[in-house]
Amino acid sequence: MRNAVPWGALALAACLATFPAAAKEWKTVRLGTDATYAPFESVDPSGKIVGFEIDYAMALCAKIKVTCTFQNQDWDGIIPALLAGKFDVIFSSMNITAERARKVLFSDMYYATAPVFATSAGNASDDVSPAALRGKTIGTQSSTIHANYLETFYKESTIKLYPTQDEPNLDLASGRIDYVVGDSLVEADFIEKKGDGCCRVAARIKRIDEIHGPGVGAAFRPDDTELKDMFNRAIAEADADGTFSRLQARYFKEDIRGK
Amino acid sequence: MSWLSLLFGPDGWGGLLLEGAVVTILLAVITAPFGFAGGLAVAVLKLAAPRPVRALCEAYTTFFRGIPDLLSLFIVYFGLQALIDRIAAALAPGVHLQLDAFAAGVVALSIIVSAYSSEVWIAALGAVPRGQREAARSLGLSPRDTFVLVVLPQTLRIALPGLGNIWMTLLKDTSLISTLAAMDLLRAASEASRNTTRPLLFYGAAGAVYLAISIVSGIAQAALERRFDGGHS
Repeated sequence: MRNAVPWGALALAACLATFPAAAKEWKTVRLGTDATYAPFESVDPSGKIVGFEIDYAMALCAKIKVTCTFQNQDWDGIIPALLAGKFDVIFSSMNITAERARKVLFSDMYYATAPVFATSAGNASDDVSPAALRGKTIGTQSSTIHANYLETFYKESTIKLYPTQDEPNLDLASGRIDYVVGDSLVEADFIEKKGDGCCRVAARIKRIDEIHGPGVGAAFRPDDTELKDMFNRAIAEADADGTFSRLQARYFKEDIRGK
Repeated sequence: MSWLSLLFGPDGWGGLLLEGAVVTILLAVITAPFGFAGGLAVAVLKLAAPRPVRALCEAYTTFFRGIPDLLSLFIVYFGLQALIDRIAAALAPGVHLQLDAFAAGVVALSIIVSAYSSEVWIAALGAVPRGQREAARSLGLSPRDTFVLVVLPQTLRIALPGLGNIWMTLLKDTSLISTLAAMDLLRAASEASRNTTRPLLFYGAAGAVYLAISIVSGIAQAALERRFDGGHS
């Protein structure tokens, strides 16, 4: 990841050298997502990328009047892929954090959900304090706010990091690990799909600003400030005209706008 | 849902698995000619080229046989893309050449297959008796005709089993592009298993398809070996 930054800077330098002031004309915008995160973004049986965030991003594109296409990109390479120009924007439930903001440019926050601890259905305890989870194994997706949270506060637990959120979920279901930390809605989706009294949510985690940030935003290359401004205007418009509420009602029972 | 309807029902994942299998087979079939021809070229250079070129070829095979195939793929997908962007920015500003996961797979796997198969080709070229070459020359064949008409067919016969092994490895190595989110057979199976939380069913199904492709390739290889045997056995 660190190596990708000089390339971005070089590309920026090359652009500045050839086009001193010309603004880029956006007709099509390529969006990248890690479609392993139902109900926000996932792949359906026909191979199409679907989900709340996909619908939302497409609604924003319609407001900006650009044609948008989605492409799938694994989470751990998603920022390098953006910086390498594989696509132009990340819409992938990426929480806005100070660490990421050093590499990418974030849009305004457009949704915020609570992280949760999920555990096996047979575990009756709702106590998820670091003391109660000492020596337990907790799984989550790597390079996420959840991984940061666990590494900051649960030093006496064994933390297992996975490439996607599905793997810790399946490991919880098969009893390999004791707890999973993940997004409340993603965990709810998994627990419902798995059925059979597999798992349950033990506790919600209060968002801490230094770790979790304000919520989820779209990520751009540092030099694409105009594109970011276009999306920010569309985000405000989607709030004002009810697009966001209409879309979220299709997927969720709770309000996730986080304003 | 029963496992049958999960695979073959209207909302089943069998279709995506089948599309994935097509991507897997296409990737292997497109890569193989480049990889095998590249390997032959490297082998000939290693045997006949001036020393600096030979050293370069040696470095190339040592490098790509020595690093993980997955790493080679990442070097092509991320590294080569950055290089292409820089060249494009210098030569034709505004033009954006995209190396997608499939193209990166073809390039990376061709490089890997070339490196591995060059060793098979060298051994096979060396196994063609010297007398064959000398006889061809004394019949008045040009060096080029000697190679194409006399040496190469015999080399091919000796190289086929080794190349067959590399083909099998290539078939399985295609699954590496699933890490770039390309929808190959393995990726389709993992999408299906994550969406249905039934990994055993879908990884099992993917395994069965890989096995079927391997068995068919094995039969094809045996037929090819008979075809090129030329009455040797």
